[in-house]
Amino acid sequence: MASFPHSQPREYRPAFSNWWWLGRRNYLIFILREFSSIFVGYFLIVTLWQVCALASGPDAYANFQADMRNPWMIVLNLIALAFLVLHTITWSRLVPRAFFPRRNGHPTDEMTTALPSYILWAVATIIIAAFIVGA
Amino acid sequence: MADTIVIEVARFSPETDAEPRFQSYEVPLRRDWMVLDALNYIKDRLDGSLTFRWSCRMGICGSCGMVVNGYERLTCETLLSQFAPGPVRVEPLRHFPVARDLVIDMTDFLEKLTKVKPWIVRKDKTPPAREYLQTPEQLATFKQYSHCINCMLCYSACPVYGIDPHFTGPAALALAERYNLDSRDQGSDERLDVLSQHDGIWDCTVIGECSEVCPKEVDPSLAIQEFKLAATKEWYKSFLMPWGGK
Repeated sequence: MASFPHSQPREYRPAFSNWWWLGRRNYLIFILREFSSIFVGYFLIVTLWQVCALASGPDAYANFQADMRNPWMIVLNLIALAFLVLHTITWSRLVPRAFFPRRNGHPTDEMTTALPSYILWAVATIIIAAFIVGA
Repeated sequence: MADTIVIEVARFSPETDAEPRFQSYEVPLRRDWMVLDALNYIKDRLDGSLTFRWSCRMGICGSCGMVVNGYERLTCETLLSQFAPGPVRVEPLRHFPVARDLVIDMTDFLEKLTKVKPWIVRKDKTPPAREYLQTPEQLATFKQYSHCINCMLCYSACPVYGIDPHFTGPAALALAERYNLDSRDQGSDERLDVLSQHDGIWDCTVIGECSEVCPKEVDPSLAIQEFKLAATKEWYKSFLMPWGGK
């Protein structure tokens, strides 16, 4: 069959903006959720730093506590904490989709699987807080 | 309520325009009019050159999906009066090539849809003596996915498809899952081989906007996560039981 290259109409192909995530609330929450992983890594490093300080003796731990009382450190930790809360809530809400999509043939509702995550989170927080306050 | 409302419509003529531009029209603001009624008014009374798709006018055919004031909607189900006093901005669906005005080129979707085999696959060669029976419970497992009308709103709302056009996309994956969950189907292995590629299910980052914009309450995001779980199980089975895990 003969081809007709000029019969193919020209189309407009829209460019994709790098700022797409500002266009809608769900997009912004998604980006913040992904970005929050950086702060999870940050808290992991702080925790390892704390454990190393504990293992190194009372003076090292006192230095760690002094560093943590620095106003800049407090601001950074508060921002990191806010992102950590966002990270925990947003990922807990995705648990039913990621691990238990169906229950008895029907999509699992959010609270059935997210609630244990929240309880585990609260219990772990209380235990760690009790340990740190007690230390 | 004002008597009229201004509609800003994206116009693109492949013969004369390098990119879309907006053209404003003043139309009557009637309480029972949908956005599609306003577009038809423009076409019939003001500017016959305006090009857009529509057919059933009752949210079944999926032809009239457009971006109205920034959100994907079926224009036949979108009340015009909710946007009063206006203006209302109407654009073609995002991420697809625009053929003319509000008409997109869906070729990419149709090619992807074929790849996921959205039909019942049977391995037995001879037709059965009678129809395959199915219980209401078996029907319920896939029924929501069968409501997909291929309106493309989910593709337009999916930034992953915008960033990576190779991504199979929400509607095709939801329809693949519709047949995977069908008790009469035997093609899930064949589909999984296609969909477990990187640009199949693994491109999805669970933004979930596809499910938010769906006018038929289909949940493509859930379908993709179900596929991911199935693909992971299959991978572990083939890893732990290479002699016959599949």
